[in-house]
Amino acid sequence: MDATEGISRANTVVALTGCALFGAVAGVVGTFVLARRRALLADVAAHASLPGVCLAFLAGEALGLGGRTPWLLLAGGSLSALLATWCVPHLSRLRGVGPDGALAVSLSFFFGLGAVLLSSIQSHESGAQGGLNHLLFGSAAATTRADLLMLAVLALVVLAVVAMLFKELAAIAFDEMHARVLGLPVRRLDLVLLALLVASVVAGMQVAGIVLVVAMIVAPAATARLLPGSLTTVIALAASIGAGCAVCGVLLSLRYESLPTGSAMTLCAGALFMLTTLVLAGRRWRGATPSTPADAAGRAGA
Amino acid sequence: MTAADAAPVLELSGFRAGYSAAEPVVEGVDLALRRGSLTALVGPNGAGKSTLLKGMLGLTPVADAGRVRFFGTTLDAARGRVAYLPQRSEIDWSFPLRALDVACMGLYSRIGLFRRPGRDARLRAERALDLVGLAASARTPIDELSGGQRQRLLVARALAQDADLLLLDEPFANVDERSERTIAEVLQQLRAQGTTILAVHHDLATVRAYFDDAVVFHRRVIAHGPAGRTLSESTVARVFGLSSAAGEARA
Repeated sequence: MDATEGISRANTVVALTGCALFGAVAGVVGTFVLARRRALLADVAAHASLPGVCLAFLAGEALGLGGRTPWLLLAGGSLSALLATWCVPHLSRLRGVGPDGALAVSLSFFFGLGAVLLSSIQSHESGAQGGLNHLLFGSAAATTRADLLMLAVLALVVLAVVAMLFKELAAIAFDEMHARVLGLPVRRLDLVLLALLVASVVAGMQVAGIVLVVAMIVAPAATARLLPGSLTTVIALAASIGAGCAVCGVLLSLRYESLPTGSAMTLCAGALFMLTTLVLAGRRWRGATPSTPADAAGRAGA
Repeated sequence: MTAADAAPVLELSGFRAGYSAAEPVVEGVDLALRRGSLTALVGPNGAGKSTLLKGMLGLTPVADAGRVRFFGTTLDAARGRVAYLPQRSEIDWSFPLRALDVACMGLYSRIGLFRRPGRDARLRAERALDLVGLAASARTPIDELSGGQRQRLLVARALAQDADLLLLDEPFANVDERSERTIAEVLQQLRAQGTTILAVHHDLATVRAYFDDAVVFHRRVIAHGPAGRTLSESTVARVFGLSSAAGEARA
């Protein structure tokens, strides 16, 4: 699927729908990822999916399925992303590495490996035509109907899992120690969250790009958390902001052809976050909202 | 120390816990709590009081699970009967929950996976909130609660769990007078109903007023018994002097 074909009306609808679905999923998953302090692990997962995607592409070519088979790319990307996140706790236990060092090492090693594979694929003719050349910064125009189907299934799965495990995911995000004492399966819940995260990141990278996809996980959720409301409200808000920013990103990248979709939607999400912060700060500064009881109580109680 | 009619609710023998096997924070801890006792765990800063509670509950990387017995059995077999109240500062209070949601969390293991808290759970949580004087704040977002209210909310969550053993990490730390009084009353009521309570407490002046027994602790149990006798000046001077000599305690 090349770029000129992507500008047709039907494909625009496919691209917009796919991106909106991805943005919504990213917002929902991001709310829990952010609360569980796993944002940087999300970035590791995104970057580390590159070698898996490249290998899956080569495997698809070799098997005659075509390189850009969404399910194959999803499987390959997920496997290498999971492998990288699995390495992180083990690396961080090494002398002098620490948690942040482990994240950095894992991310850069897997991404480096992926970059090498990607450049060798792109030097091949089929790679450039296959659509892997938009992988780093994303291109909604390259969204196919198969991609759309995959994103729709992913959205359903994410919603179902979050609905079923809502109270458990909330409990481990709010107070992990308490959840463990209650006997909730904290490790398994974290694995479920990681699986959702990896699936979202890998499914979204075609549109949002590997390098910036983490911003779509974090920024809409962070913006929603700035606003008051129950956990359900925050999740709904994050999903709407994610979908909205993704759609704006697609429209911008269709209007300005040199602008990659991922960069555009990330810019929208980042700008909205900053704007929200500024508006809230401004209102507090002007005293338009009387200081909340928490501010007053916090000061008195501290 | 042990009541004749019951096995200890909590029993540690030679217990060890901490963050590295080479240098455990607490070591050689022997302790037995009888049913219905209300005990303060006191000791200087850095004595390992919080680590002891966390270690018993398997929350530290190193913990001798085999050397802790809850109700004569393992923690896994006794889960649900043991409630834990972490230090208030260890919790993300900006999380978008209402007070009632947090109180309900005490019931999560009882409700089971995949299910939402029903009417029954909400009623129990509301009753727990009422007991700590937060009935009117049930729908209030937790980030709007004061420090003392937050502490009472954590007590309510433990109450909702209806546990037989309560392990509390500094329930009286930095709370207003009203919250302190309420929490003390609730603990007394629970004790009267047969609940066993062990609470990390740092205010030596109020130990005798709020607790029956005291454990003086510094990496291991130094003394354990009725609060009045245990907190004799010599014990306190020895333990707290010991640590200030080591430069670990604030004056």
